[in-house]
Amino acid sequence: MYRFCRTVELHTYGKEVRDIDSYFFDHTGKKCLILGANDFIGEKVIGFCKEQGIQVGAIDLEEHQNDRLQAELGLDYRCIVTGDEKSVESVVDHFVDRLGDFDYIVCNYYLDELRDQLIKQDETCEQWEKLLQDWTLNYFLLLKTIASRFDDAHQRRIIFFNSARGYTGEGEGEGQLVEGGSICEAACASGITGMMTSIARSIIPKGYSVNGIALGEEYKEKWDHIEWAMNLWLTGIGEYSCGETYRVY
Amino acid sequence: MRNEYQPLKDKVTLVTGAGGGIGQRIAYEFAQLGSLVYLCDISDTQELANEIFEQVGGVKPMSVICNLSKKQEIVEMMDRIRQENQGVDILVNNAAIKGPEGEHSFPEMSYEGFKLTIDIDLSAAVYLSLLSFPHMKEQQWGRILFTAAPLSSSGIPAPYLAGKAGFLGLSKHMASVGKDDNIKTLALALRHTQTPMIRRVIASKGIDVEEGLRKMNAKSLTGRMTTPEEIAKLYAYFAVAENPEITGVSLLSDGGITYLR
Repeated sequence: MYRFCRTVELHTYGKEVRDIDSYFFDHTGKKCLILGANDFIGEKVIGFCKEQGIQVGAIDLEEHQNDRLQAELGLDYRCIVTGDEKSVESVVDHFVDRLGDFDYIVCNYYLDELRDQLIKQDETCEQWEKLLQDWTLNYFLLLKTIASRFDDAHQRRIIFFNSARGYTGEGEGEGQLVEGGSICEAACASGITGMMTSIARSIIPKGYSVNGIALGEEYKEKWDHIEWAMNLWLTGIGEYSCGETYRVY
Repeated sequence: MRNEYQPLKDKVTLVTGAGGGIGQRIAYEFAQLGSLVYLCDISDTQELANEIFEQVGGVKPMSVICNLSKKQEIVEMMDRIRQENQGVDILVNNAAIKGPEGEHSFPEMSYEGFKLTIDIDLSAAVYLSLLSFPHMKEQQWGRILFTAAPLSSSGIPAPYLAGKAGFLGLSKHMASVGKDDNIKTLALALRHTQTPMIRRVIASKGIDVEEGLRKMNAKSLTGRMTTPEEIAKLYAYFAVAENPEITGVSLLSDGGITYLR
């Protein structure tokens, strides 16, 4: 079986560095594709990328289309039709033409909107179907499309944004559920964890790293914590963790 | 050349098991970031202290010989650090022995052997955490790091695993009691690491070392073992984190062996 052995370039001894970023990592010139660009996390990730010199390709769901992202942030911004394979392929191909290969892939879903909706109304089967499609299936389609486009040894690091209201894995001493939430959110988030670990098992040997960040309550007030976790996963510092979910709650 | 980036300047780090492998790299990393590092080991680490100082400059690390199975020696070491530098700001509970000499299986393992392993692998960390805590609290800053292991590690002697599992609980508890005093903890659950110890373990089983390493590498989804440099960098990334909520973290860093193979 082919295995891609990564070399760890983490030695900094004897090199002169001036600040935390240049000591621990350098994102300059990296390319990031983000799914779920148009919410708090999406915009923060885009801001983070701009600040760090990362080129961004932003993807969103049709119904969330918002020209502001394109106009104000100068983003290359494309929409997909949710759950539509052809639509996802076409958007990925656009970004491949535009950016070449991707270093980072961030999968994000609109937790805030979801939580808001599900608090206001009783849950229905239709809501479940929509959530499954918008969240789980879109994550799956995006990663399947990317993984099938590239079969070389380029190092790609993937983050799954998830909810801490679902089961988030068997990490040592972790795995507890955060109270609250809805049936739909808990079930979908738990499913995302299972899907992530399975995808991780398949593509880590090809050079990917795959890890998650699960968001609990009031995550909007915890962006610097989330950013710390993003750097843990994106920079390679936490690379030897495979299919782990870092919880911010 | 010395870094201008010195976030751990004026901090005192104590690394147990600093004489080799992971501990040695942690010592380099924290010295590089400006910390005064006490190199605690059962053997003399003076030569290592000189080497680190030569490579990274800054404050010269201090060698301290301590047998962690003896509570009195731990107390004396901590007294010395208190007298010389007020106390420990960053405690790295890294030292461990795999198990007692001789029979490792249960119930053949001797009580004395079990006790010795637990003393070094767990009790020492408890004493060191307790003895470090008052200074950290006074300074309103402290970091306690644990080199742990996944609970599902197979083929590992009972006292070793008991010690590593104890780290997870200890880390969570210390995070909870230290949360208002900016005392933060991290437990890193590791499996195989590229160290001289892993070569010795393979050789002790009468297996060809290179072949043994190849098989162990193949167990990981990444096709390799983690490295001491990688671990040291992760510890450092945690130690310099300012957000008070980054604490009590138990991070599995195992190449996917535990849950994905």
